[in-house]
Amino acid sequence: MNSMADTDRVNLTPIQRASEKSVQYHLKQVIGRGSYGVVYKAINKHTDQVVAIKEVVYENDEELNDIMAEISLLKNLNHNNIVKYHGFIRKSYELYILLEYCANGSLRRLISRSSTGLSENESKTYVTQTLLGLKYLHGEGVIHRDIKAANILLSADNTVKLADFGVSTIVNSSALTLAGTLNWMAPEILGNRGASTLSDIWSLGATVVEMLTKNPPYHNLTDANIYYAVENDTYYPPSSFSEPLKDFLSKCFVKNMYKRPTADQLLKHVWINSTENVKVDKLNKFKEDFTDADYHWDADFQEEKLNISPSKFSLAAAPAAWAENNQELDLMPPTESQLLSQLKSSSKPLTDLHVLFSVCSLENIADTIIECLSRTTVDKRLITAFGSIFVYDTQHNHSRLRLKFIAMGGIPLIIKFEHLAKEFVIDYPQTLIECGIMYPPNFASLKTPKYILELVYRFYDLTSTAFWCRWCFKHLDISLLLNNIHERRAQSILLKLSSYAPWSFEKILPSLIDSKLKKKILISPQITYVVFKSINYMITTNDDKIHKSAIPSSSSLPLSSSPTRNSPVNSVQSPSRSPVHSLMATRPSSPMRHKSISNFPHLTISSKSRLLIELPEGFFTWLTSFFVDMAQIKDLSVLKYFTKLCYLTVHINSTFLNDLLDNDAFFAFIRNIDTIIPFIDDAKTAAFIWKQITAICVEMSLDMDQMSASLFSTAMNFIRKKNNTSISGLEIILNCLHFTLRNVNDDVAPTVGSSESHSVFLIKVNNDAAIELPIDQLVDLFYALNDDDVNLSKLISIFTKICSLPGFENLTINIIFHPNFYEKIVSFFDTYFNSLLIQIDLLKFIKLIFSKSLLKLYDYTGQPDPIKQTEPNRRNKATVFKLRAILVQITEFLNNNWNKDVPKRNSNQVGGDSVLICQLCEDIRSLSKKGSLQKVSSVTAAIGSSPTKDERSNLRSSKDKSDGFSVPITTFQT
Amino acid sequence: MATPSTGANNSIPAVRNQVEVQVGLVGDAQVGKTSLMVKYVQNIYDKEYTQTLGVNFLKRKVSIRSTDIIFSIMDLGGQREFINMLPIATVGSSVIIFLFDLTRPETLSSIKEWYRQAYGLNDSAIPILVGTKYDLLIDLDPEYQEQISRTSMKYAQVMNAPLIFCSTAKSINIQKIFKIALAKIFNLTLTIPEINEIGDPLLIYKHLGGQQHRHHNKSQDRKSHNIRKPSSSPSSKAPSPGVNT
Repeated sequence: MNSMADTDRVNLTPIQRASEKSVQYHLKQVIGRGSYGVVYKAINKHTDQVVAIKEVVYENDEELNDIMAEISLLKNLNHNNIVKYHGFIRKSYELYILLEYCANGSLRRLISRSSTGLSENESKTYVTQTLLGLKYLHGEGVIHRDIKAANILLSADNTVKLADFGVSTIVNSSALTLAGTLNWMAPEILGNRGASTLSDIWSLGATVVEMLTKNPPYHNLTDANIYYAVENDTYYPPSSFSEPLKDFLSKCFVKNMYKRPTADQLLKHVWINSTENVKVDKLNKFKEDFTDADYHWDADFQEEKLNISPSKFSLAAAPAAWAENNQELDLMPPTESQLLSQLKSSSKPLTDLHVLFSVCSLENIADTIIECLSRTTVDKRLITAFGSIFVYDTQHNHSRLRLKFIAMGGIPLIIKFEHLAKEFVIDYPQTLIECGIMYPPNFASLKTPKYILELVYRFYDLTSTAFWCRWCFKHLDISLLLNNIHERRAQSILLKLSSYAPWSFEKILPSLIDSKLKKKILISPQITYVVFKSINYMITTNDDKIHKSAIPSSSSLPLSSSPTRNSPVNSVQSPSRSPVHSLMATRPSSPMRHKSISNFPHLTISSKSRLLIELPEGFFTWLTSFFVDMAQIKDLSVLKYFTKLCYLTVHINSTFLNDLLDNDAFFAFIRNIDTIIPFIDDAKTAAFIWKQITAICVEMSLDMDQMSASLFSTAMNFIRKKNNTSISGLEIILNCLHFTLRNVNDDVAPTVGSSESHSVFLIKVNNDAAIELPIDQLVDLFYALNDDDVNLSKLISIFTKICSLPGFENLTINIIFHPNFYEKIVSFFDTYFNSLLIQIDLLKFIKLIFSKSLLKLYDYTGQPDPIKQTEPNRRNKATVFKLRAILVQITEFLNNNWNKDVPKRNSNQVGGDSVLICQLCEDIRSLSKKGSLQKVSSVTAAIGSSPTKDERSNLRSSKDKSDGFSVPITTFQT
Repeated sequence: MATPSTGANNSIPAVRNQVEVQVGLVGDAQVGKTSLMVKYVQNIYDKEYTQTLGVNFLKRKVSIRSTDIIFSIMDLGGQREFINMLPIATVGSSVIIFLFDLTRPETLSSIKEWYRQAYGLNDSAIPILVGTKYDLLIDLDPEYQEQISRTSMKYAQVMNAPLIFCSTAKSINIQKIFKIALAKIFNLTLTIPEINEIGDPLLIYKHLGGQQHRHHNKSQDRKSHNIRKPSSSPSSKAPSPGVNT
């Protein structure tokens, strides 16, 4: 038998020597190549048993002893779904591990051959068997540690066999971070917190994603980002996945490994067990493909040569056609030498490649091609002919000729012929690269974008990131990259460049925003997504760098910081601040005539960095042009990066803020998002999008130079939602109010005031129009949010500020007279019993609303100095009475709240010994006493929330006109 | 006999041997004979039933090593009135495929009669027993599935015929029928694994259909039988010189 000798001898020489010594196994071809060594198919010479042999090169004897000990252990494992360890052969520098041979290769190979990944039903069979294998391994106390499709092998009858468990981890322990496997790793492994059998479950989840989408989760991220994503992000499966599968995956991807299910539990999962699918599975499992290859039955028959000749059977009643066929059979077949010389001549190209491959040996074909290519000039027709030979080889000959051609050194000859090189690009990019195809003169000869991009993409894997970026800077045609942005490789390259190459900002961004490209970008959400994401990368990486160099240590705030930092009120949550400090911080600014933003320290920082990075000309126009297109896009990730980009943009250049304020499309875009998001089941991304949008709106409200009705109504929409965006809506309203107040002209009528219905405030936009701010919606919001909402303290702060504005006494009275007022206050204190800061804020708020309300009611007669006023107006007497009753109730609660002697109080209650709390309680208590208004006004002044005299007089004159506050209580309770 | 000497005395193997193999399909009406043929040859499956009037005939070429095999498939209408055309489907066929509907046990019982009839006309052809509509079988009660599987295995034993369950609608085991046919005709070793599990689409062929152990109770016409058997045919006893290296 010479069947084994005719292939791969070149590759196998050292191994064959080794095996000859042992005279046991005959190594055939290489079937796999891992980071730790090569895997061969081999045949036991005595028993004819086919095995796989893995070659491991070891460094020291201790390591070897470990491996050998491990294998002798693993030899004992026996299960239908794991690869059997048969043992090992030791050579001086290599160890050969004998393994069960799996004829159908790895699941990875199966996946990569499918066009879009496996179907759920197809995958289910494999997942079930993988789980069975894992269940066995885990039961035996073995952690696989490297579950992925490449390590799931298939036997001849397509039974799953888990490979590479145990030993690979010993061999590989130092190389665990090797590129490409991070995507499958559980967070506890990445975080080095120790693996367990449950870590395999995570990897299994990643493998399921790999089976169905061809790629594991986060495949488009770089290693550093994968670390981050696996540890922190939630994985969102594609929407095409079925609900049971989504649930299955969410169970696999639980960050806390102790909460992950075991293999046994997963086997009982609905997705695995839905009976409907067992049937479909079975039908799919046995399904035959009808392809061209089915005409070629070579692989199904063992005989190397057929003993078929028509004479072998003589049919008694042969069909008439039989004789005619014989005519053809009499023709003499061409000889090998005839065929080969025909191959060399360019004049008469070979047409029947079938004949060529069946008559000539691969070596001779390859040799002839190499000979022809070595000539100084090569006929173009020959190149074409060779190209089709390689195509035929790929399709019908299992690439054997191409492998032979590579082994015989043919690659260097073809790298200048794109027509031939392209036949190797997809399957053997590494070989092409190693033979110098990326060397600039060679690379420049490539013309087809698809292959160029493929090679550049593969080049990344073989070089360092820094080198690759430099190389791309010099040799990659950016316009080619962008014009082919619909190619996945182009997208990957763009993402890589934008996150690693600082020059991408200057070199790629300007071309990317070319209006001609826009249509292309909008072809599919995927492309839009990639483009926006990469621009985000470009800006943030660039900015980080500049930022750090410009402001070395004083500020570590990155530009892309979370928007919450924008709100000064947030400071109450910061534990580092002393209570006194926060008392100062919540003091609202007096109306600012000058457009100063000194109240918002963070902005001074970003305004510095605004000078440092300059967006290309036309960028803003380009970006805003997308608002309209976004109406068609329902993909949350696209919206996510788009809004993030908008946020970054206005941050970099604040003049955009005002442009955006005038851009109706922007507000239409916000309304549109409102209609899309409820239908998408991805709360986290939706929240992120809202966070960006509200952050932009808040900044707009801080920076606006004229009152915008659109912004205002958007803010009111936020408020009506009664969720996290409402806080931002409130903030915007507050800023609008501030803006209006500070732009009051002394000689025109005040622009904030209550309307006749007493339930709305009017804010003047310009001389003609006014915007309504309905009070009841603010009150609703105050009562709508949950007590344990994390933003509650922020809400209190903003309410404190709004209530302290002149003219908002109506609001404070409304809040107090709400039927749930007492319960609400009590539950606030209950919820925040352990937060000194929030309690202080609450007390300040209570004090403010009561004092303001009282002041208002007493002040009704319009006497110029409220301090001298001791009795309320008659008409308000009942109201004042009721208000005082509530105040007494609250005071009583406050008296007991910190009193340790009162039973049922929370024993962990903090603040009992706080001077500030005592003082505030005392202030509130004194409000309930008659004749306390002197104190009230002085106290409000001390808090800093009382309007200045000027404002009050303004306010009063507005009231005179509108004649407000006649019977407040009845209106409030509707 | 037109000697098919395919460059017999040349040391280089014949490049394109061409061999035609006739295959007959028989079985009760509506078991799916025409569907099977059309699916195999044209990869088309039509749910609608069209009655075959008389005999359908299609050809398909496959290649193995350096030989082209042309299957001429004769499909006989299953209705009783076409029984007089049975010779067209059987005489001259190297393989006769007996089809029954896995969801209708009576079609399996009919196989006895089909086999007797066909055997009377051509006792050297290799029989293959094929159960159709496997995709519908798995909807049925597991007990029934087991029963029909066991019974058809018995039939296959008695007929000395490879047994295959197939589904034309779901493309299961269609091509394998013809691969097995070829392997049996030329005594080749097929590498396709058998499927033996009850409930799976059975594919049992390794020990069935061998020419040496052909079971039959009628021993007349032994002569013509011998002529048809490759191993006993004079030209192949010494393997044809040219084709073998």
